[in-house]
Amino acid sequence: MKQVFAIAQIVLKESYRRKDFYVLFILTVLLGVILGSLNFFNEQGIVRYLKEFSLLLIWLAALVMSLATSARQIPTEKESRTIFPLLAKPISRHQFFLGKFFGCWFSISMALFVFYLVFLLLTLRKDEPANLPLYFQAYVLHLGFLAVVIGLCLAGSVIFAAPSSNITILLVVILGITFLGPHLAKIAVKMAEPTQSILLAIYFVIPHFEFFDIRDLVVHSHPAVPWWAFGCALIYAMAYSAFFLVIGCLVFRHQTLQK
Amino acid sequence: MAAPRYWIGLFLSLALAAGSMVDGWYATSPLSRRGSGSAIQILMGDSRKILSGFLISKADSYFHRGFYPSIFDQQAKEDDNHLAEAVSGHHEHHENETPEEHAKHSAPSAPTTTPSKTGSENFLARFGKNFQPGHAHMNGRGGEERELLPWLKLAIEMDPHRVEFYPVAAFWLRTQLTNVAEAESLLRSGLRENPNHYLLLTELGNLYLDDRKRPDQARFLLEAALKQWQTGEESKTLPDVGTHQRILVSLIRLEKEQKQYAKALEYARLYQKFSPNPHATEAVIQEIEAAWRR
Repeated sequence: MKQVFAIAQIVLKESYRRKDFYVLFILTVLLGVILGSLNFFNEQGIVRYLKEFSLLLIWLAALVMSLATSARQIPTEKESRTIFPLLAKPISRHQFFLGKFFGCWFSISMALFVFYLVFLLLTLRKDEPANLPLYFQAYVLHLGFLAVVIGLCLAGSVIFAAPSSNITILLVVILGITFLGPHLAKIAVKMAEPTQSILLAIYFVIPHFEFFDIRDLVVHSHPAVPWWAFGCALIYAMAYSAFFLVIGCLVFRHQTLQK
Repeated sequence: MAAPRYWIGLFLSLALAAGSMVDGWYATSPLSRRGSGSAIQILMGDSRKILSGFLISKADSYFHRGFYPSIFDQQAKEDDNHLAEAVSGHHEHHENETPEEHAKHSAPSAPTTTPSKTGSENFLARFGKNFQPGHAHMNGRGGEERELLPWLKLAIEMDPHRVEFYPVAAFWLRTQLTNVAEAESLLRSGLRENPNHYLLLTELGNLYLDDRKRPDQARFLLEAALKQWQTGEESKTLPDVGTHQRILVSLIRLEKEQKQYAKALEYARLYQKFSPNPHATEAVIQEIEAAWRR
């Protein structure tokens, strides 16, 4: 585990130097402030549209950051040939791979914490009583979603030829799963065989990102998610990220590093 | 190689040609016409109408506290769209409802979880419901309805000719949020975009009757609304009977309050002509006659 966290620490230090977070953070805060200053019929205390837009921006920023960070980790190491001295140390390939995963996830978690903190402050400023357990769940479930995305992206980075193709393909897949995934079963029941069985199989195999997205509950001040469901969703996220990591490790273990 | 002065001459000729072309294009483009529309109108064209529909469904979703059926559920759950019902003003289930009645009909109700209509939901879909808002309405406490306003305002800005959006926004403004001045301002801006529209005149008339307590202006506006309805709607195969009845109900109430019983009777008889329940209207007529005799 020591080796894994040593690799993770390197990724974390590298992420401080990158400008992605700062640019996206400033952009999100700026858009939030502009939206917050809009006037609708001179009515004070309108807050939900602001919460909705802010959370959407946070989700987009986090998705972009996690894809951009994790997609280039291994290809960059290979390209600059820094992977060889690293693997020459007593670090196995799967430890290297896991280290990259945890490094990406920790750095995104910290960035996301800052985003959610600003979001909380923005909400409190608008006099909406904040449901702190729900906000905590929203943050942790979001981290669960990002763990799956980072696992998927790291696995993609050892399968696809270039980071750009990996990011493009995964963006399409993630958006597809987000918008169509929850409805595949409803679509399947209207289809004839064998399309129905294929769609149902896809429905049960794909990760369901709707379990991690409780933005509507936050926006409309609903009560927190039952804790058992919250726990199950986290286990679900762990299972899927572990699955993608295993696939990534298996591919990476047999991969030729020298071209 | 040609001398530099020829190059300069060529460059100037090209610049002159390009300038005259751009000038000609600008003179005929919508950008040059002052007051022809905002930048959004010019840039987005007719796609604004689609966006306007999306924004109104967003307001509906807010009215249901985040619950909104997806396009895959909508066919089965069309009857859940309460804000759309309020917008249309003449829906099937609440055909004779005024916005006030609609608020009563849809106001404080305990949040409930939507039961599965098919009963065939799989375990993933059932589990997913823990992370989505259940079916609920705004509770009307603390002016929660103000949260609808951004979407309604944007929907109106996207398509100012969708006349049915104005009364919805004005209704929430003047009744739940007691912001009569803004409601009036919105309706007047609607009338500027859609001159003499009976729906806007009706809402403005009701505002003058209920909130401003100025019966003369209210009468003028409601009579104008009735006239406009008779001109535009009466000859249609499917006229907007709901609004017609709302105009007449307001006029009957106004004339009764002002003790103008002859006028009240005239409107009550007109109402009876279109009423789905003429017997109930007969009772109203008798009530007016009794008041007149007193």
